[in-house]
Amino acid sequence: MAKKVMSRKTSSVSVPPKVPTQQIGIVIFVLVGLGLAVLIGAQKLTQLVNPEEATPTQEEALTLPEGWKVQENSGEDERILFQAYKEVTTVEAGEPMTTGVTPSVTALVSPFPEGAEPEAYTQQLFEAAKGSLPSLEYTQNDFNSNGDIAARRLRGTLEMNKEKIGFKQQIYIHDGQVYTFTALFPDDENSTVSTEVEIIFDQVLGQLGL
Amino acid sequence: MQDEFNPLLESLKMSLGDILGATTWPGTGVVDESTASLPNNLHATQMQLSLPALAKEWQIYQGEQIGQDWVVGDTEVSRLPTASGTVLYGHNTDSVFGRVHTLPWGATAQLNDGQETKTYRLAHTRIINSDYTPLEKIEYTDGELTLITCRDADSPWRVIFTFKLAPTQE
Repeated sequence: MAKKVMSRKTSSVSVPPKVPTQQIGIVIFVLVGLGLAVLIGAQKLTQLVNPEEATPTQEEALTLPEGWKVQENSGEDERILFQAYKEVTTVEAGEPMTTGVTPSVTALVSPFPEGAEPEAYTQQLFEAAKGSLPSLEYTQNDFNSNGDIAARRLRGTLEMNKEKIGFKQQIYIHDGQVYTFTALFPDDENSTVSTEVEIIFDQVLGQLGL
Repeated sequence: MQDEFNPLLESLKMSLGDILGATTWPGTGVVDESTASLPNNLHATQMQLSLPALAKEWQIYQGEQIGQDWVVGDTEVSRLPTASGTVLYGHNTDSVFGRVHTLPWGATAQLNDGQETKTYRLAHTRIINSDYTPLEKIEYTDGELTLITCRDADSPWRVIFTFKLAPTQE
């Protein structure tokens, strides 16, 4: 059997020494690894040097239900912890207008009065709100205390432009602070917005470590 | 209780924002009388009102609007921000304006704005249906003190007591 002879070109040009593919792979792997390490290290360093700059915005950190937008806080009112609203879609021609309310969530932080007792304090806030606004009707008022967190959950309706609006309010007392959440939404049993606001409440609470 | 912060009311106010269109009359009628002063975000003004015939005296608070509603304190008298005159509202309970209807014509009311005290005399009373007469339709004039309360609980009827400035005695 004739041995196949491979012809070999002779040339005066020098040929670089052959580098094994495996070694190239290792070098690329090491370089990519080093690049990632530098990137991660820079981020960590930024966090250490300037924690505020490195903190993601609320919108980045929270996964809001579809259509919800974080409302940028002008920073003038330090009590405002978080505000979001749901963009109202335009009503198609021929479809009935169901509600005029823009669903929204507002979270405030305020100091817990010294010497106050959480259950009595939150009940007093509830009584004051109920008595102060004639169109406010509370249909739910539950209080519970779990360890170092006390919570009162309220639900009801209020009237605006002769239309009923649903609302949920939750007060959390923890570590000398009062966190108050309020959500407005259409007073419609078929609407999912009242569930969406609870998801947002939970996410903000999660961020607060509550 | 003065200037006590109520986050439930404040967050409702922030959520509702400024509502365009007509505002409602203050809902001053109550079924259950409360004499407790609760945290309702009302801010005290320099003004004080007294009705000597009823032996009553009140600190006046700045009227606060949440959505289309006016905040009505259990025991507080608040001032509507009108362009002219002085217009005050409060519950129709014994501790607030519940006995004003018993005053005879000419009964005096004294208003101190923090600097001087002016005396007014009860001149006339009107009952209006708030469902048909918007708050903005009522005109007030300088030199008049107007007190507004509800005729009864959960009712559209509002009683408006108008006091006219009494001539100063030399």
